[in-house]
Amino acid sequence: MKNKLRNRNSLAHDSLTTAPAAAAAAAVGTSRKMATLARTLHLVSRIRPSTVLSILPRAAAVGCLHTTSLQEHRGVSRVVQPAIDKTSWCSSSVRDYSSKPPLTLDLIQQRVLLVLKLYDKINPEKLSVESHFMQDLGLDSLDHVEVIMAMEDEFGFEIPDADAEKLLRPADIIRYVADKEDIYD
Amino acid sequence: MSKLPRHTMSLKRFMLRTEAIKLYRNILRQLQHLPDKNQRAEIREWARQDFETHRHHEDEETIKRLIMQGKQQLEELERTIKRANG
Repeated sequence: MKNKLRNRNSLAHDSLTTAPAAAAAAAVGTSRKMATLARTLHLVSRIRPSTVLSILPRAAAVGCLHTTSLQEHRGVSRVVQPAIDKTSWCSSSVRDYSSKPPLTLDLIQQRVLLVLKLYDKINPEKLSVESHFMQDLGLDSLDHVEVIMAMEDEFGFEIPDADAEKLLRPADIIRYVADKEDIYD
Repeated sequence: MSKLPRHTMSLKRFMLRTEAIKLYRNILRQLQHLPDKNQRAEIREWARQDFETHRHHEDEETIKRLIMQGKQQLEELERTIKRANG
């Protein structure tokens, strides 16, 4: 907000607050930014009239981009904090922007089985790594689609249809994820 | 004459079945674009109900017609989600 006010203080035009607001909004394209822009423009237009009208939209766009990039940096470091705290106590001077925990075959197996246990159509007592979804666990093909979508959600990558129809046991899924993530334990 | 197991379906039926499963998967994928999780679960339940009620059909024409209807509904869903996300 302060950055925007500093930019706007020298560039105000009293009679055309709507036009530059619209132009700036078109340049930036987010409604929240538009609201704050409109507010700052109304405020500034009362402070001092000026003839430098053309710079206003550009400055507004630059100001908004500046704050968005600031927010993005802030957002990234907020996401990264937990990863740094959990994985290593001595690397506080090193920035690690990867947000996935390191995968091992064991971890993949745990995660796959956990997702399956949480699925309400599967009986957790019958579940094992080698149990077949349709024959042992009594799922049908639509349930299978839901299971594969849950796995895509869990591991963060899309599984194409052709591959999905071959993944009929938890063991298949574990091997598939390990292949995709290049893990060879 | 045929040495296949008794409940093997014809190739056409198999392709239709694959189409139906693909349709269900595309609906679920489209729903990922919805920010509200409750809405997502609601529409998923509703779609699943629809599929279940028509599970029993044996006639090819009926199945084809229902799949076409499903695809149109999916396009409608896509458009609605695009509009909602702006």
